[in-house]
Amino acid sequence: MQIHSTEQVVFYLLAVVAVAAALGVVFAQDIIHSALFLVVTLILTAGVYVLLSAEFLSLVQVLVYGGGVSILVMFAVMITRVRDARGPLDGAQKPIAIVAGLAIVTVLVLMISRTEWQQAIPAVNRPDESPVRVQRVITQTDKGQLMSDTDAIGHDLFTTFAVPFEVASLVLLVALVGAIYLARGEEDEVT
Amino acid sequence: MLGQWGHMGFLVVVGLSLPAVALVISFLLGLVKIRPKDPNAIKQDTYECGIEAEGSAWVQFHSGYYVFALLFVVFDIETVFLYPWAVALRQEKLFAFVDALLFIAILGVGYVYAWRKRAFEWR
Repeated sequence: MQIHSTEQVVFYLLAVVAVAAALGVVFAQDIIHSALFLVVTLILTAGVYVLLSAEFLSLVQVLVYGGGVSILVMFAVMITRVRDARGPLDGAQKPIAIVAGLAIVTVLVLMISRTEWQQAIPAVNRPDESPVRVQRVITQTDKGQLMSDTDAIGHDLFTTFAVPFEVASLVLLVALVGAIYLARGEEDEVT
Repeated sequence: MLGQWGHMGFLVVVGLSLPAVALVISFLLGLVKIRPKDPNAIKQDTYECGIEAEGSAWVQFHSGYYVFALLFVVFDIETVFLYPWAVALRQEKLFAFVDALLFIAILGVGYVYAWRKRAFEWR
């Protein structure tokens, strides 16, 4: 394991803290501490995405996982009887959990070791024979300028995918109305 | 590649070290007896002013709070879509602008619904 660049230093810093926080999630005695450790892990993962030049993905990670998912977890902890969940959180299912965890680790390690990772991204210099065509689309405008992936996604969102974009807002609307209906009931409307 | 994010990383590092440095300096000054240590009940209060804390923090909160969490998540996801729009807007045509206005308007309906259902009110 050689250190080649600043990026690697930053990556190992992020990775070490993220893994430590992930262990914190599992080993914390207090479920609130577990939840806070989870937020740390999720946000540091966004940092890893930045290192991979996936700027938009990292923003989504912060918004959806760092914001949405952690809020839901926190609220779930708040409104349930957390007092009962103090102390060690393992039980009779521990052996099964260990087997399942090891199985997932095995699958992931196999997957990572067998994937042919792309070296650096010469996306712009290497036009059409590039094996990953999407890469080229995402990093180049029509005039061949470099653009960030967020730019590219924004561009596609309002040209090719304008209709799915609107459908997404409808889906969100349905989710919103459904959530309010379930949580509040039908009865009280302002007249 | 780290260029623009390097500045941000620097800010994060400075932000994290400010409180850490303050605590460490306070601890070191305490070791060499420059910082006085004279605790009393009032000093050790959790809050300097306000109502005194009572009971345990481990209470079950009202489930009505969950609506606010759900509302937050929906508008959080809206941000995910509006962010690439804001970044790409300068190079797009008027269509992109109208498209996003429609997007916001559709979610605006949801907002009005939530308002009329008194989802923002506490009962």
